[in-house]
Amino acid sequence: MTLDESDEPLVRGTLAGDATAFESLVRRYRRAALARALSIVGNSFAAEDVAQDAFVQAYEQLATLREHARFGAWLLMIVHRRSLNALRAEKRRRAVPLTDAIPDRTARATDGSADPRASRASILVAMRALTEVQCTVVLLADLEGWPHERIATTVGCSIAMSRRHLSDARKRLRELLAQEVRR
Amino acid sequence: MTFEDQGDDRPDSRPDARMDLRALDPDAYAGSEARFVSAVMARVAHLGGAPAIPTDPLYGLWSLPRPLLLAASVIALAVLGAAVGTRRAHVSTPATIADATGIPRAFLATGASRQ
Repeated sequence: MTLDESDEPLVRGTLAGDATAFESLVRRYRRAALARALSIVGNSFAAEDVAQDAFVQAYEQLATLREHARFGAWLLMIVHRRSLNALRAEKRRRAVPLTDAIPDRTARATDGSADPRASRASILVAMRALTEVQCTVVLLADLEGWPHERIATTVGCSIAMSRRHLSDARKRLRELLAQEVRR
Repeated sequence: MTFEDQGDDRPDSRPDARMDLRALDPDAYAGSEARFVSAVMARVAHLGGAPAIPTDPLYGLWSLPRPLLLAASVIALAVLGAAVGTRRAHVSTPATIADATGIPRAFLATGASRQ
């Protein structure tokens, strides 16, 4: 990981009052935060609200972050908690869980091919079976294309553990998606 | 970096091969990056200034590594417990047989002067 990829100078800049530094952090983690939120709440609009709220909370509490280089993991932890809270609130508010994405497994395009929405729904359901760190690692690696060196720094583990988490997450996702197809 | 940027690193059926998570690609459902960033920055600007440094008097303490903090807390509690225990034992133990049997000190002093 090169120096300009580290979060540390950006966090320090933000704490010193440099708004553009925080903007860079928002741009850097926007996609990961949105994907993480969507993987929990399963609803695009709710995911965007959660991700925005998480960035604002991160800004407010930035001075409490001990390891500046781990801003990404810290932010995604905030996203995770806020997503669970949003999910609980939504479940309380409605009798049925929300879903713009979730499961009509029979959803098929008229030409017989699988509906992309169903595919997304299956992935969302399967991702809920992963641990928090597995979910984060697989999103950063397979959606964002980050190398293990960067993931390890962000998540706060060794490169070997990052590989292990990714391998476990992929294996679990494949098993669950295969079960989904067989049904 | 998006999935398409990965060149030949395409998903396949190998157990440990890359997963195709393009269905979760935020840019396919969320608004544009510019809109998202401007919404967050507007809310942050509304808060005003740089993030506040906490006024918690123990703020510096929390920056210590957790295991160290935990170990120090356990040791402090053990020392405090030992000190309180010793003090209680010291206070409750009678100094003489007369104290233990409840004979008034004034009476003992009188007896000593007669001899």
